[in-house]
Amino acid sequence: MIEAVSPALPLLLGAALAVLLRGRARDAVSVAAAVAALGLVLLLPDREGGRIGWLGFRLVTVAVDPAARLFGAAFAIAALAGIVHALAQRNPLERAAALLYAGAALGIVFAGDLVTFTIFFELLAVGSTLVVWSGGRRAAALRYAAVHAFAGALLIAGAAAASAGGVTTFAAVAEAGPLARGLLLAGLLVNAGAFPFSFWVADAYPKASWSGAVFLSAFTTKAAVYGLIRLFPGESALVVFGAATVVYGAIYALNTRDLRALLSYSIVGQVGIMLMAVGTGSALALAAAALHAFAHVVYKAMMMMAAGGLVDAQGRTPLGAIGPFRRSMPVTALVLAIGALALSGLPLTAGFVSKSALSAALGKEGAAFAWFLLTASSAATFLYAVCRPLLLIETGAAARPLADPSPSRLAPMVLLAALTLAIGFVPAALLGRIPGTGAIAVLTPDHIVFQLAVLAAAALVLLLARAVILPGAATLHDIDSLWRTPLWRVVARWLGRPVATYGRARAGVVAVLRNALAGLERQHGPQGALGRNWPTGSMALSAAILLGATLLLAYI
Amino acid sequence: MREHAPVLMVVVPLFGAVLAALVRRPGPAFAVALACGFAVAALAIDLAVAVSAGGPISYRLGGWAPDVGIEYRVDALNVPILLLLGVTAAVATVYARRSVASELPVGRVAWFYALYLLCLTGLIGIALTNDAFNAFVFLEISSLATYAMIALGRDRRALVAAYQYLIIGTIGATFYVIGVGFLFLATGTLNLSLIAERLGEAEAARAVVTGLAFVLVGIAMKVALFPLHLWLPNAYAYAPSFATVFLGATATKVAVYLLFRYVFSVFGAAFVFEALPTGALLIALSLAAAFGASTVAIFQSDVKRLLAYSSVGQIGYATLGLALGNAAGLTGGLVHLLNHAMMKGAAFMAVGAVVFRLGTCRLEAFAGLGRAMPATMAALTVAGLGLIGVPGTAGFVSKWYLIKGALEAGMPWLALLIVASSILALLYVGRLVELIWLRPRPADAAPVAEAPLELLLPTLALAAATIWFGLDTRFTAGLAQAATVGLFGGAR
Amino acid sequence: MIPAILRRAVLVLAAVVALLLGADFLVAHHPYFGIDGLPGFALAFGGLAALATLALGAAAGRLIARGAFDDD
Repeated sequence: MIEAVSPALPLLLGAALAVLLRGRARDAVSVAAAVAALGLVLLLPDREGGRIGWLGFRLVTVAVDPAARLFGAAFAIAALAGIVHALAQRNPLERAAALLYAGAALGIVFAGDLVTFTIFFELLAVGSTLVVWSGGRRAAALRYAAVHAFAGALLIAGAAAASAGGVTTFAAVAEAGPLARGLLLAGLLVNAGAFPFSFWVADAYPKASWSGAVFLSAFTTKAAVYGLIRLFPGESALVVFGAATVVYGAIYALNTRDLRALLSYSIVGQVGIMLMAVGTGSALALAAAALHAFAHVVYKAMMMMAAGGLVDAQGRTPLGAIGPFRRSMPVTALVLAIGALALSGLPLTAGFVSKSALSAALGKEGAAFAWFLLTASSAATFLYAVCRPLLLIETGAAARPLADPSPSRLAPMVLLAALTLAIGFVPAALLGRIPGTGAIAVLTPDHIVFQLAVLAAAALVLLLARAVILPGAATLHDIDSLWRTPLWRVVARWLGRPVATYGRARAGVVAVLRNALAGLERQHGPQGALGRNWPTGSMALSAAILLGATLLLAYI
Repeated sequence: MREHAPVLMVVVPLFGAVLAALVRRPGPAFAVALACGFAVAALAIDLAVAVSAGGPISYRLGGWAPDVGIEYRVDALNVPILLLLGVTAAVATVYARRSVASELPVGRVAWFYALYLLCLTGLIGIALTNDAFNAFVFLEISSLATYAMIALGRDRRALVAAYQYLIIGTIGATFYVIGVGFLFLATGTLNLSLIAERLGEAEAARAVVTGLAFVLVGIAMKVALFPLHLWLPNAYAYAPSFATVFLGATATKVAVYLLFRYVFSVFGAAFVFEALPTGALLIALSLAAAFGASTVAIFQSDVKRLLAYSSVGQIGYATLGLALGNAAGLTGGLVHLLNHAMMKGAAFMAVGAVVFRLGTCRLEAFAGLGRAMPATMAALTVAGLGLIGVPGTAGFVSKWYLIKGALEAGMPWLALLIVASSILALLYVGRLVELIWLRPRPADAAPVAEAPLELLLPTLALAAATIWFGLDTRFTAGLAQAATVGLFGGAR
Repeated sequence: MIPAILRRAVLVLAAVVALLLGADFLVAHHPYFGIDGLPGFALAFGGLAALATLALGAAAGRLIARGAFDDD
């Protein structure tokens, strides 16, 4: 019986109830839903279940295998931790949206066919958009919605093209036509935040509420990575996209002056590493990618929670803002530190475990390019996550005292930090549960010395070269500047030219569009030929014409 | 008793109408209408169960044989329509009391219910009867009642709208009855099944073709097939809100059913699509409706009119399914009748609730209403999503079958156009949704409360159905598929 | 930041690097590509990677710096 219940179900039900209930009842239902989802993830047997017929498709809503369970566990842990952390959040919409979002993420992970997968991806877009929306930054939410409507359209079109060719299972996608594969790949890459579609991550996540950003950091991009593992294992283009994404993440994270933007850029960079592993495609590489996703969800969620504690101070999180509060918010500061070190892959953290697995997988496969880039990215991560923030840390007294948040917000981040360290100290506890990764040696002297050497050398270089320490800015231009700050204005600024030319061009385009719209309204508006009231006689005439035409055509 | 269910379905609302007219007082008249609504729903469900268990039911009025008397016939094709009428009557009548009381003078309320029940009688009769002339009689009953119902609208333009509809409706009915005359000439019978049997050996092929053309164009006027739709926007916009709800959900659907009946079980698809350029013409007109009327809807400033133009566009999808002529297309067309009835019913109910609270349904009045009337506006939004055809709503299911039908018919461009026309729906719904949820309420606007439960519950029920039947397609699509199978059995 | 702290940090880091270089000669390497088994490779590669990242980041930073907090 239990094998027919998708872990998505309790969360989706919880989302519906969260709309109806208030206060304590809503809190209880939300937590219970997340606990139930986690329980299902751990207890479901390794097989398919939950088949439903819809419009002639056979949908499989529960398909469990080790990869699904690993991603499912990551998402369920993030959902539970995120919900508990968000108990203090009094925005009712965000709670329902977060439950919907988490439910959709788990639905994707346990989907057994392409149609179910696509449906849950659309739900994921809706849920995440609502989470961003409840952060209160409407314009950013609309931009996020536009990107995900686009990505959703790509996925639907891809799934439709695939099923038109008779492809409805994941395995068969390899044999699907180039159109279906291209659309699906593009849809997943946009969702993963792969370069050049990365701009939306750092645009939206820092603008979510202190609690919403936790869910955002966990689900969408990793669900897309999971989708790529299922649909496109060994797709060599992913190595290229992944490499570009790694470089993008490093450059942007090194230049931002906002903590939550830095965390967003680092999500993108780490996803890039996962993409390279998926593109390499060996069984071990796929397992390592999944492992890295798991570890990343855990420590990034807690870092977002810690950053959320700083949001309380001023609504935004300038880099180094923890400085004045490091004594009044010791737990927050410690969690941020552990997270930054895990992100850099310091030994005895979860980040070291997953990066060791990645390194072993890429090395054994002889994927030199991906392996060297992975190693270099460790150095880069240490620079942007640890060294530069330390150099930029604010000193002096805080404008107003700020303490560690309430226990319901503190407990999840402490537990996630403990999990990060536990995995770091006892890698076999996690690796042994994943087929194929049990044999990877993590805490060996040569690996430890190697990783420490890379990090120490990077830090030394940064200190010696601090003359070029990047001042950066709180917001950075990205691909979306092409339409947000129109291209010509950017170019004009670079060239130091006046922007009047651009203004004239824009006015011209707007005028043309206005005229076109006015023409349409003349035709279709209330006074237009199609929209106005016609005399009764003309209606009778049109009936007569239609009858005459029909008869005439019948007799010739 | 149970074998008389077919005739009871007509007789109950007919006597209800007389009773409502006799009691003269709003309260009892409403009680009569409510009782009739639920009785009709129960009878429709009973008939549906009986048909699915025992096959078509033939009921001979007064025991006369079909070639001389009148036969009522319940089969897979009209079961969905009877269910649609019955359930709408039950759900909508709950909605009626407060809405009608707020929009009509007390003295006219009882008359209004009498007219409503007469209209229901006529629509049920059209769906039930297997007699061409009897269908004309019921068509007139429902039409006359509709004219009067529209004329009771409190806007003075309602009178003009009713007059216009009266002229057009009468021309349509005349065309229809002329066509029936030709058919009687050629076959010597008025029973639809017998006409279908005798058409094959009929010698006067010209009379048959002429009859067909008159019948089709006559019904097309009641369907509001583009460009014969011009009566509809005004009629819906100025009628009392409850009349708009009921007519929007049922009236054109029954006319489309009659079109299906004539094309597939009387004349046969082969004959209709070969003897006349019906297929190409119908596809062209359906697309013109889907694009033209939807574009007009985008520019409307009155929400009832906006939805009315949207109805013209949506009817285009139903006739498109008919024009495709294959199983998937027909299923799509038929299931769209049901789905559109839910969605448009919910939408018109929500707008009616706004009229109840604000006394207007101008577009500007909806600004920021999402905060003041969240449940009503949520229902309107769900209905709007259904009109667009968002997956997970009923509207998607019908479009899905239509697209499948277009692809099966070897017309991928048509599938593309169906998708493209949804973008127009996205625009007119998006305009409304943006206004409701994203705009602030004007500072000088009077405070508004959520709609009363009597209005809210039916609205939410239909909105919930829009979602439910978008997810679980077994019931609606099953009905439509059974009907399609029956049609192809009957088509020669 | 106080330069004195930075100077001390450089010294500490230099000592750490020297220690790691020494350790690198002692541990048994399991290279995947050959070059990565050479003692001192990790230090050299880490340093080069950091230099390249900084150069790239500084160059790109001039182009992408947009401004204050994004309040729209």
